[in-house]
Amino acid sequence: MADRGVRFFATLALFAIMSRHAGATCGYTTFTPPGQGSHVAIYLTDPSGQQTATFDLVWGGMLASLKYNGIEHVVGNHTVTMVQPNWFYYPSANPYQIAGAGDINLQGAPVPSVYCSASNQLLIITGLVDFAAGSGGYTPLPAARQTLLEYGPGVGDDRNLGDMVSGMYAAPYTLTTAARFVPNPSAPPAYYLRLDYKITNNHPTEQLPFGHWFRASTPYDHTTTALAPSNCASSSSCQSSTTPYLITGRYVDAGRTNGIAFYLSPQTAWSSGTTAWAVFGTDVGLQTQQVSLVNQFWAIAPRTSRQWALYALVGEWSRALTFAQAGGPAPPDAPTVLQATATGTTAVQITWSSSLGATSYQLERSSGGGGYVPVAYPASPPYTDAGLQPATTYLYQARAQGPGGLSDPSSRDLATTILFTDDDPQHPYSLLGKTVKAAHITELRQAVNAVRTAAGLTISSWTDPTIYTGANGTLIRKVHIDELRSSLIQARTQLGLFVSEFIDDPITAGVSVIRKEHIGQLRQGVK
Amino acid sequence: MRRARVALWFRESVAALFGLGLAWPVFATCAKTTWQPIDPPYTIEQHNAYALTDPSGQQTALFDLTWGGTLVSLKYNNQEMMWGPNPGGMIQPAYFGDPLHNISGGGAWWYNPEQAGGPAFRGTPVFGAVCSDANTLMIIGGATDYFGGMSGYRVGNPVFLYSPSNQYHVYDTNKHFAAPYTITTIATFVPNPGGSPSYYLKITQTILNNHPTENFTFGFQISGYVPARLKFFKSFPANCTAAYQPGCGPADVPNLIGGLYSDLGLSDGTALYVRPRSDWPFLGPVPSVFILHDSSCQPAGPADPNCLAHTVGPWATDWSVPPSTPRTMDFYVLVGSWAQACTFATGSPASCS
Repeated sequence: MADRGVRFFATLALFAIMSRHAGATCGYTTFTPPGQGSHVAIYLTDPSGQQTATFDLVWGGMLASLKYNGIEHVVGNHTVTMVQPNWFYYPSANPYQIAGAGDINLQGAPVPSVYCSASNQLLIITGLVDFAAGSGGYTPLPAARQTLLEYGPGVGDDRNLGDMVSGMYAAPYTLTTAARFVPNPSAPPAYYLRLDYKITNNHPTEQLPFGHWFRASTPYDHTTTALAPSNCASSSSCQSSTTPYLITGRYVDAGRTNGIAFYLSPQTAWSSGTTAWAVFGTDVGLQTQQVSLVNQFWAIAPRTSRQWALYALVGEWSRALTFAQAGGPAPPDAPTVLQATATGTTAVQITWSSSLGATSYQLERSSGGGGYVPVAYPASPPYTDAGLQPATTYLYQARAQGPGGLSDPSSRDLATTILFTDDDPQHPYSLLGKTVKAAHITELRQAVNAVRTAAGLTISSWTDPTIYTGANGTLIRKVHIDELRSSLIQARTQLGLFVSEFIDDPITAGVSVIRKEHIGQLRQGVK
Repeated sequence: MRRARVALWFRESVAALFGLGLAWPVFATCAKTTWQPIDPPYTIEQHNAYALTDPSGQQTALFDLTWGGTLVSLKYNNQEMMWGPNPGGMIQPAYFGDPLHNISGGGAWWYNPEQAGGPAFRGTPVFGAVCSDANTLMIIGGATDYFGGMSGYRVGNPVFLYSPSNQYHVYDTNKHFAAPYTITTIATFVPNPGGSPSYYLKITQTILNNHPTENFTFGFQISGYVPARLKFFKSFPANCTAAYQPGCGPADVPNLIGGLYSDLGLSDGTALYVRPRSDWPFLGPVPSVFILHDSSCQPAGPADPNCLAHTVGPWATDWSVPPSTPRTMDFYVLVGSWAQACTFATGSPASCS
């Protein structure tokens, strides 16, 4: 931006990485592959607390662990193991194989973005690499695409030299992984892990005859195999376009009651491929039983993306198969962001982001500390919720509706039906050309207490309960702003809404001037 | 001094031969190098970079690999023609103004994906870089929310390798947020038929949205920062200098160019040139393109005695990038005189007076 140099950049005072839906949790952790050092990782626990999925952020953000009732069903001890998609230069893996986790030398694929993006969901973006680390002699593009992992802080002894990873070669593709747990209609388990993948070819010209290889490594004691349709065991048996589901698993016992299966729909995921099949293998050295879902001719044209879903189904084979045969119904993703703004003393306008696979949306509202109830269905953004009470705080969330049902809720936002003095709709919260006055404080007190009511908290009492105007009016002081801030922070925290750091925090008596920016920030907090 | 003159003569001669259709002259080079940021607090760092030198040897462009592979320096006859000492400067694409993620309604905090990174050492990761030939550099990197998630919308934290401990970290989880876009940059010098300079820097960028659903109503800009000595503004079309001007829709404007110059004669400066009609089709209801210029000093404002930079660059309203829909555009960085730059862009010297 033109005024970049004078931007004010504040910090978040309070921000919870954890994102929750019922019992679902998501957050950063560590993962230590056998024989390796500690890796930074991100985990997702299903709402029932039965399963935890861990994604190794040093090795490309791939699924390195999936525990069900404490029992591990994935092996993540090498860049060649875990659960990860690969693309190979069909029919041979050489000279060029795109890997999700990293290369043959255990150098991990970079992860430029990872986050708990919504309740019960995380999003990882990975820069893919050549598994053969350039040794295959891939010639269409010289092997000079070194992967760069740059470190930003520049503190201590780090000078950013040597960060270019020697002998490692990037592939010009990015992989986006969205993970969440979806209900299993034939529980147990109550949930299955769904992984939505999207691969993007960033290269202007590269288009290769890839095969797609979805490889999963399971524990060494998972010796019993399962496959459906049972004839999809060779490269020529099953046509992708006519195979609605392909599911394969590995189990500890002959009855196939304890293990893990992987399911996708070739008909939708691999529609342009020719055949789809499963491959079983054993790697004694890495102590893992492998299972792969393979597809021929899955080209990714330059500057295009392809996306598909894979399910990791722990527990019994029979229940996993039932889920696959039913088409794996799952609700769409939740809208990722929602924003509510009062447009009058009795109306609020709500907007929200669209969701993949949504056919409609349900808007839900909470007030007075109560639960969320539907107020509009079907609804589409922007939606105006009219007929509301003045000077009241309302909270909103939205759910996406799809063939698989309603999604998890979106992020939540509040709006308070107060119109503020000197508010310019073209520049809300900015108070351009205005000076701080009594009405600003009085209105904010009313609004903050409305937010507290919505949070189920008692209303705050204030120093100088009445702010007088005129020549002998009340001097607006530090304590007035401090009280509003602390009351608002407590309410927003109680509501699970993020709280940003305030300008001039703390306000220093005798030093800080009470400014319109202080008022504007508080208005943003109550809206 | 004599040696320098001989070298200059030789370079100009080779450039002239190139103009006669010979193969790439020997001066076109593309190579990995390092770059030392010149502005505190970044002076403690030394960054990996790629340098691209034009076939005449007159210009060298530096692309910083710690800061998203962004153009960070462009020297013409050894004089710096842009200002790139921190991720808020440089010459780079940036998105802004999505109303759903603009918590202050035009104020300080909004969702602001850009190529280089955010302040306080929050550079954008680069995935790979290659010198395809002596005059072509390709870099693939990500994007960063310049305002570090302050809008409340956050896509993800980058994961970095920390060199001294050889450990990976999710760095700065509360402030460093990526945007889910990959930016592929292809840089090359193309001949200038006008002859001075012999070449202009052409940058082709493709922006791809890796997010499954993110589809925002963005404005877009090529944010151009130039040294403070360049302060006299000129643009074409002359009236497209603010949003929503009549006759300034993308379909109306085949060529949009603006520059800042050190002299009233417009003989020494830097211009940015884009082709809205072909490269900037808009998805929004009220498309508009314009050249923004700000001759107040950066970074500290008009009163700053240490004025470092001015800004100039093309802007567009409503330049969305839906999921799986690439945006590819060319932009040119044209050093030297306005007359030559404008003639290169428009093909018409009469348009450039």
